[in-house]
Amino acid sequence: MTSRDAILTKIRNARSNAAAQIKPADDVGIHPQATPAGDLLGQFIELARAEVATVDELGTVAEVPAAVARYMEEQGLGNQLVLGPDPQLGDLDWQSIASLKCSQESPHPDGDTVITACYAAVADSGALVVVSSPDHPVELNFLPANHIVVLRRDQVLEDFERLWTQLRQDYAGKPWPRCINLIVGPSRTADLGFPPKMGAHGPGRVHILVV
Amino acid sequence: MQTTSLKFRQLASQALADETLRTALGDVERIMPVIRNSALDQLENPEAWFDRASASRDRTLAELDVYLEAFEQKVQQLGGHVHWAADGTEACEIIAGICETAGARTVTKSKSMVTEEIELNAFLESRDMTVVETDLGEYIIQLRGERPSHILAPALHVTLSEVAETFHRHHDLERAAPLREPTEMLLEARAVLRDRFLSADVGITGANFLVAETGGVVIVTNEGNADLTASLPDTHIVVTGIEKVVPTLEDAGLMLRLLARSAAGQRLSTYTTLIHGPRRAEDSSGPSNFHVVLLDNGRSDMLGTQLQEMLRCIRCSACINHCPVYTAVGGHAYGSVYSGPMGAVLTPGLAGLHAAAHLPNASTFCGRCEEVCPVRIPIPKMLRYWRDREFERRMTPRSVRYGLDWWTHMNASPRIYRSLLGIAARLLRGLSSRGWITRLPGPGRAWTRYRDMPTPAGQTFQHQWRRTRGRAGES
Repeated sequence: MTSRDAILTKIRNARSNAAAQIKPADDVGIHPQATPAGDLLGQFIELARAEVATVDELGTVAEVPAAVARYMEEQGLGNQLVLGPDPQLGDLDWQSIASLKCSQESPHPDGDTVITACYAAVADSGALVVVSSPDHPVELNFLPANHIVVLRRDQVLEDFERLWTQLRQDYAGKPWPRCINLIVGPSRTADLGFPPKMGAHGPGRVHILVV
Repeated sequence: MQTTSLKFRQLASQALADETLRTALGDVERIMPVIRNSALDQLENPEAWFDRASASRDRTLAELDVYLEAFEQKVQQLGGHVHWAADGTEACEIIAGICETAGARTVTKSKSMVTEEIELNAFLESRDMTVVETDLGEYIIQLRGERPSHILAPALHVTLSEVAETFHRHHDLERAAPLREPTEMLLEARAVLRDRFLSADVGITGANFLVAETGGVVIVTNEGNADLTASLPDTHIVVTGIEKVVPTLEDAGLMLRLLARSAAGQRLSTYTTLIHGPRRAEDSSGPSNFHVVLLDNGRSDMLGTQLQEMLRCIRCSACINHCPVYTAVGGHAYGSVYSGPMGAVLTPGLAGLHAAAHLPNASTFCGRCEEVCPVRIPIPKMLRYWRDREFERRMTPRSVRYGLDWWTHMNASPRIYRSLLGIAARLLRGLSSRGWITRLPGPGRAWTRYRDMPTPAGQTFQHQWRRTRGRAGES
């Protein structure tokens, strides 16, 4: 008997009830909290800031290049910006900002500033949600020193439950993306005492541009 | 699973005399309850969430085979592989086999108590592989050749100056800056580990949850090290216990809400990642090989027994942070990777009671562990279960067994009980000075060696009851 069969047999011997089935998701008794009506974006921004992310509210996506240049200058991050392969961002008018040197890809950004789009944001936890794809390789979220994320106002969801529902719709009949990352502020560690120190292995700065 | 739990008494005495450890544990005792409580207060009615979470865990455990098979099938559909290991040795063999097939020389790891349980690092090193822990706390204790003293903060017992000294001793000297501030130590570790991440052939992580519905593996960190471990090498191996499966994403969301709050007073950990299989054909990065190793190692033996509820555990460590015994003696005294109240229940279950005796006795039964547990594990009840087994197997010291026998006889005869207690109450009063008893004769000396005891009333409760009841009747 293989270990698989042995383990499953032991589990089956230990339980009394007949074969069960995975219950539909609406059966798990989750009742999402009532979120303050309306201002999801406000709630998201408040919680993201509480977790040490910075947020800049812009008008349209066309304002992104100038906002990035402004942020990088304020923070003293130099003028090198890594744009991922995402055409949504690549097609913006970066040429108009003479001070920025943009590269389309960097295999292992380290000490760099990277800008990416995101899939959603979760208001009740202040989390950005990014999903891996050819346009958004997962390491872009973890290797750079500074991560700038463009979030559309209509991407903010109330809670996990709404996120799961949207993912199920978007990936119905297709394999799920390899990585779904929920990110709350910069990387940190509590292994060097309280309070936690920012900038462990992931980005030490997370800056959100809301468009 | 190796334990040194039989040395609990000796190790606990040493720990009590360790001033540095006392400072670190004092921080846990002072800070953790405060940040946990304020994080849980963000949820309306946290107790209702505890009810839902424990019900979800119970439902899963009652049908564990169904969820494990569903998870396995989903992972296979995504192009991953699922392996089943009956014990630690089998798990180590499977993992070493995958690493050898991948031609691995360097393996990075994110923090996983299951890999500590099966002593994976030593096994891989014996097969000529270099294993690098990437969680900062695990990295520090790996360099120091120590075991974790807390499931969440494994290097809790190490002071900042010891961290600096450890880095100086093990890192390239040219690189080593003075390292006075924590941020300098962090940058130093980040720089050294960055190279390791980029050059690793295999990445090994644990899992916080496995989602049966989608075949997803949920991994939670604050540092981001698990994501670099899981995404940069060409092979990713997940090692976890069979009890970690949850039915749906909703169940996972429920656990995540409680895990980060109970563990570290956070609304959500910095990084919560759902991984589904290997890289897709069109992806430009990510591992091409994805393996999940499901470990039993004594867990299925707990199903259907009085210990089943322990398998609800989501490893948040709230019971540890709130335990008066843990915060006095620290994790190493327990002699097991799992310490504190959850460790005192789990260690005998996984390693056998013979290897873990003393641990079920390392409790004051104050009940805080059960109070703070987000999945409502009745830990005191289970410690009592282990004490009963100890007694049955005559593992309890003879003095305790005879004492209990004597106590039983005495209790069976109210007259003898009352008169002996009356004598004891008067004697104790005679031994006290200024309201306290600081030294007892005979076997009582062991008790007063570490504690004082307030002077008793001089009369038994029953005696006083007779008097006051009499008065109440008069009025």
